[in-house]
Amino acid sequence: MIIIQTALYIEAAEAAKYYGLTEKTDRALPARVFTDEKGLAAVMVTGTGGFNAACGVASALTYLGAGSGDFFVNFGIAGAEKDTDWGVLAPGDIVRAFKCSCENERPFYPDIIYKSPFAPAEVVTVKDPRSYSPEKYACSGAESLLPKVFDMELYYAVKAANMFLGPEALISFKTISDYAGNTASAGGIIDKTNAEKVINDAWQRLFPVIDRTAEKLREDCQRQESFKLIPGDTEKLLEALGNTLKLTYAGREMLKNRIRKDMLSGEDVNARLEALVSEAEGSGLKNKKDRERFFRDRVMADRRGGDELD
Amino acid sequence: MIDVLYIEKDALGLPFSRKIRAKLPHATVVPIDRWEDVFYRKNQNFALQKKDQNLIVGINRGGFVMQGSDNCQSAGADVFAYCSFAKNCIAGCGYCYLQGMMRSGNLLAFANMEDCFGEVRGLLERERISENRKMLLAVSYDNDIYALEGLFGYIGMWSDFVDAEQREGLTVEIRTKCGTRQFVDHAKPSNGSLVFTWSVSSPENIKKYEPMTSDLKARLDAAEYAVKKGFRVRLALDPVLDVSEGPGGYVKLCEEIRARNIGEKLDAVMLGGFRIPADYLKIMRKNAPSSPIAFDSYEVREGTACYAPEREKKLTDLIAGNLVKTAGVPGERIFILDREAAKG
Repeated sequence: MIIIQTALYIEAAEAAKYYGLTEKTDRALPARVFTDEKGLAAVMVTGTGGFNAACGVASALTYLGAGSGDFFVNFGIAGAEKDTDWGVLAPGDIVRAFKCSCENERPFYPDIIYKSPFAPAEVVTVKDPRSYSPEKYACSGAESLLPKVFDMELYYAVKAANMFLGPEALISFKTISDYAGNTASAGGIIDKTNAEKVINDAWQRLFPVIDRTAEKLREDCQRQESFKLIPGDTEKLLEALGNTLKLTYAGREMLKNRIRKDMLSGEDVNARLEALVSEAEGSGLKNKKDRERFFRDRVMADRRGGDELD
Repeated sequence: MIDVLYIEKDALGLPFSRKIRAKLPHATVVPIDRWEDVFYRKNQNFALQKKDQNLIVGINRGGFVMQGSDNCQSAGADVFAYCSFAKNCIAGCGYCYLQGMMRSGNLLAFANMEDCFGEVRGLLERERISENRKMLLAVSYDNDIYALEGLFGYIGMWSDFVDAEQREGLTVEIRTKCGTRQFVDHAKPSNGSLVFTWSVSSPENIKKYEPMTSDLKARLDAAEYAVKKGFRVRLALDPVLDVSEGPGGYVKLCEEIRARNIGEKLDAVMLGGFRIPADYLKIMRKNAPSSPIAFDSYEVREGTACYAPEREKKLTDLIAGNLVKTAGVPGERIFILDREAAKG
């Protein structure tokens, strides 16, 4: 599932429209949540500020049952610095957060496994981007390697999302709305009249990237999960053998690991299990000792010693 | 291809970091406060990170040198130490303990090597390492520094260090699965303190369980090259794997050694069955779900998952016999890991 989080509805509207989402009204969450029937995408609007972002993301991800293969996207407008070593970010430009920082907190770094064409940036979450002063967030030396942009939620949103999802599944894009600091002197560019257009233009550039990335992440996670999967018919045979030998939970786990190992080695495990089940049933195993001997000598035969891990 | 380079702010000005940046001009540099902030994030996906590794350059503030583990070979040294200044590897071997030990699949390299060498100097003094009291310092367990020499240049640094120290009794072991011969030339064989150890296995095991590493031929060619250059060279058949293909593949390995006529010239050959701390194996089963070795059956003895003793002994004895008979390695230079003896 692609899960998009924004602070304001104006930032989310185009995404809700693109993915064909409708607002959920049958729940009590501190965020507005929009979903589709197939569970392919969702949008949450958490309100402005770090506290709202953290609460909104945590509750919405719980509600959506977020887990492996899901992809969290934070999007919103952000203020840039006007004159820096790395050049000028213009209103409407899109950046991707390589670093999410916040005063007095340890920064968070989303994994950059899946590439995108947007410029890297450090997103600094502040209470009020208008209070920005170049002296406070001086861009010099080490700091000048990544451009800084300022928002009011990202740090808290990703930290909350990281409780549910890995850093490889967290991504944030910001479109530059104006320059941080006193807007009167720094020059506010985007206002209510053109904000919608700038945001929607950004979404049109972002949708293909988000869709492609979500697809790749889903494929990668499915591939990983597929190794762990034991097919239904094999599961049934494992169950049958476990029942015949009256195996404990630990014994069944040992057996499952053994079979998983054989599967990964390319062996025909079903044929072996079928043979073991019929042999066990036909052996007249009378007591616990007989069953344990059969398990040790026949099932785990070439693996003397057994696995005490489980 | 490393696209993102996380560098600690305190390391940005160090020559090591500057050299790395010059070698990776296209990488985006992200200045970070502490390497731990990237390396120890919550919920990381080791396998995905491993597929597309980024590099973290940090400052090690917690010490570089540790006592060698009973699970590792000391090849008869009186003091066995282990030095970690780079973590994680570019290869993805199916049995590698790093998959159970590391929270991140990204590469980590420390830039403050002067601190590392200072610590080693202190240890050499404290332990009074001399001709009569030998020390093995393993420097590449957590990372194949030889394979990454083109990027990090650690081999050159260690060579300079042992050259400057001129310490009798010190052996610095660089272990690798890389078959690139030219990295041997980054070191000087001058005082024999630097030992190259090629980790080898049967050709079948290499193909199946050691993807992204050099094949057996290339490794042995590189070993032969290092022997000719006057270095002390070792081979490590470690871990020896008891896999369905059987131990026959190890005979082929011995034949390859014989074909190069280096058996008698080897400084040591080390053998040990597969073993891993049990806690690591549990994590390895999550991080390497496609590895059959992770799901084999093991005994747990004193916290280590390993083969049953008779199973391991049968394997190692068979291979050791072949090393003598087929490869021409003198028996006294074959070291079989005995964890019990190591403790005693």
